[in-house]
Amino acid sequence: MHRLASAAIPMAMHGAPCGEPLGPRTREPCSTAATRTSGRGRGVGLKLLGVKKGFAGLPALEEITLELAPAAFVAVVGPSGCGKTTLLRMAGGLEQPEAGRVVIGEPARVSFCFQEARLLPWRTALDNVALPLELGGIGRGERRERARAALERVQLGDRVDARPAALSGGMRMRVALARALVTEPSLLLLDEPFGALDEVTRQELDDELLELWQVSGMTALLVTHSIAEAVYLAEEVVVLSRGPGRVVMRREISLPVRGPDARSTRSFQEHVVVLQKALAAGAGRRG
Amino acid sequence: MRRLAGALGPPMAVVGAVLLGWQLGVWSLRPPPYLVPGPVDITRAFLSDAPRLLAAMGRTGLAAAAGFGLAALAGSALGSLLAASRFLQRGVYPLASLLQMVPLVALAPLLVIWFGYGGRATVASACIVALFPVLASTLDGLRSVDPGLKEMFALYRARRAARFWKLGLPSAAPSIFTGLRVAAGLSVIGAVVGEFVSGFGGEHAPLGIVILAALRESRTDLVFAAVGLSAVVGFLLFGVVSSLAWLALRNWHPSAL
Amino acid sequence: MTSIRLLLVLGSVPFFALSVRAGEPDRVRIQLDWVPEPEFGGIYAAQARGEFRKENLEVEVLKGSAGVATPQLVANGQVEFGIVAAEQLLAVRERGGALVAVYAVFQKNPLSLMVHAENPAHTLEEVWRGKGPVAVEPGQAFVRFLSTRYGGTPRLVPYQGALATFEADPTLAQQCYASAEPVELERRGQKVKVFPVADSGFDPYNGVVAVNGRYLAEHGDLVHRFVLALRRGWQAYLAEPTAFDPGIAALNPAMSREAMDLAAVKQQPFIESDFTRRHGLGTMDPKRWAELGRQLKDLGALKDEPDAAKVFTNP
Repeated sequence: MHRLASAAIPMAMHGAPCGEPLGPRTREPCSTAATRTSGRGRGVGLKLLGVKKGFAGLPALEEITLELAPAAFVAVVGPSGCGKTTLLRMAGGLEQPEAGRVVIGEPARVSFCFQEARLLPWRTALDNVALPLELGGIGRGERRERARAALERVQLGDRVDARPAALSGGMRMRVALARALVTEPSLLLLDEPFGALDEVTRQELDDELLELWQVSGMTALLVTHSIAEAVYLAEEVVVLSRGPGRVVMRREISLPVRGPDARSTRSFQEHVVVLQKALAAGAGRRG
Repeated sequence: MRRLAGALGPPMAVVGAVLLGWQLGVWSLRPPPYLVPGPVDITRAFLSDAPRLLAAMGRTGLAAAAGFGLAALAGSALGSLLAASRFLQRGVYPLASLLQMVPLVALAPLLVIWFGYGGRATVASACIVALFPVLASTLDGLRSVDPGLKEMFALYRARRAARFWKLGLPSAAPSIFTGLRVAAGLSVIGAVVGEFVSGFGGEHAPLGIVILAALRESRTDLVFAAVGLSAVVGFLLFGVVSSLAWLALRNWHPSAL
Repeated sequence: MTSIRLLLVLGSVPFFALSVRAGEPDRVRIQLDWVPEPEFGGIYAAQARGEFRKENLEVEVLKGSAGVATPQLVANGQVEFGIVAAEQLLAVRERGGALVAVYAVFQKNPLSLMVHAENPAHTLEEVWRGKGPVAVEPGQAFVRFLSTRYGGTPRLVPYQGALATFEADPTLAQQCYASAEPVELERRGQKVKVFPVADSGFDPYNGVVAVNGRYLAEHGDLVHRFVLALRRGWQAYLAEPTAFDPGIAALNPAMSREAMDLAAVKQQPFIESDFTRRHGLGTMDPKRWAELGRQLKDLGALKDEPDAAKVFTNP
């Protein structure tokens, strides 16, 4: 519920505490060393045990087991149709597995971020972000205040009264992110949230997401097409084969540094190459 | 203000050109007045009887507005009800569409028997004609809510009432306004037809009776004047709906941006 | 070919032409302003007896209804003949429709107001100044006349030709033909009191057969033949209406045969008058037209008094 004490925020290489603004749009990157605020923060564990799903008689996912520790960040990659979206939706309770079960730790406050922003076009950004609180019965004053704070956290504090039509695609996604975070979720599920945006905006939003995760300590499960994004954000990447999907590879991601500089490190490139090979192999094989 | 002028300018120019052409045609071809009066004759007919005609227009306008208002409320309420139940939709919707098909002139005498002479039968007539477009557009709008948004509301465990007022109705608003625009014009037709069988005569005559009397007396110029005034009523109602639509949709809907 | 044969052939052409013309009857239409009822008895009788055919005419009778715009139809040439009310004829003449009256069925106007027998009114004036609503066709000239004459206007409601609304409301007064609706109602057991509007001093010709002025100028002979046949038809109908009523009843299921027989008798005093006995059924008096013109001008229904001589003819 409350922000973490600044002592928990790890120091960056340049000596300034990471997360502090260096300029209008850049923030000090945070290193992976002592990144995880284990034991602190609000994340809960997520277990997908032997979950399986089919549609219209055809299997989409074979038995998948996936475990996320509290405050973990895991990414799932795979070719189109491998069932990764279905996996995410089962994790969030939008779909029921045919076999196996889903276990979420307490308190289970789950938020979703979809590929489309899914904003109500007739509401301002503020009222959109406040929506989950409104539907949960929170009073007007409090919910607007919390929504404002959430929008500030995604750098949209000056656009609270704008309607979605007046915002760019990237800004709309940020509003969606703010809305997902306004309820202070313990588990954040993301389904290719930045897939429709251009590369620059995508990287900016990845940075913001990374930082929000680090500061809040929530557990995050990200489904993405982009291996680079998966390596950039997650501590562990799971590769699924072509549909019906099964796990082809699980790889822990350790990088010398987290943040924009990470992309140019050799470690980063190596992770990407290995994962790409696994992805290609899994995509080539018939299920 | 400039925007208003920009919106009104072109249609007024077209209307002006039509009227000019019409009057020139009348001057050169000289058709008998009982057959085709010119705009000048029609204006003269209006001016020489303006108080009576304006009073008639007021009566018809009030009846049409009342019928329209009732149709707007009932149509949107019924549409919302049908949207909530597949069963009701299948049972009631086909019957409601019958409302459109029954010719009003056949129904109107029945309305007199049920509601009596004067305003009530006229309002009922206007309401019947205007109801279905509102009902259909409401139902359609509510059924066309973005499934992604619906899923989101389900995720937040929104209650039924919240889903209707916060998602369904705003989402359906553009469609409902379209239905209301259509209903506005139809309500005037319904009012005039209702007046044919139930309107008072003499000094308390609404436009429908003015039209019938003028037809019988071969006062075609007066017929056109009265018909023109009923069109004005239609425009006014339509304008009110359009203004409300603009107010409601202006910040977010492509049609009003 | 020899010249004699040529002469014979050439000579026979006019003969053939004449015989073709004489053989083929003139086709005309007459538009009624109401549904078939005894008020049009003479027309149906003339048809049944072949009077029109005797004058080399083939007449198509077009049924009317409430609101049929007969004066305009005749003025515009959609039909050759039409039944109109005298005041309608003068009105459309002033508006550029050149109609001319050629025959007047009703010498006394049968238009009346009827009330339920229990209604306390005893005179036309009491009906007009009473509290109950009065159902009239919008645009009827007598409304203005009665309002001016008796000072005041009752609550007017539209009359569309149905008897059901009258039967349902005991306070209602309704426009009718003295010889038609009351008869049907009494047959159904509903007693009524009938007050002819003509008694108030407003007595225009009714059931007037009108033609377009241009048509009259071009086909004067045809019109003359039509009127002759029509007159004979009316004579036959007045003499023995029961012979022709079955034919009319077949065309109008809303009125029973018995009612038609009673109506035919009841309408006789409206059709025959001293004037017709002197000059023939259907003939018209210029003084009546002049008086109507004056009354309508006083009421503001006409801008100017028309020239009575131009308005009608007794062909």
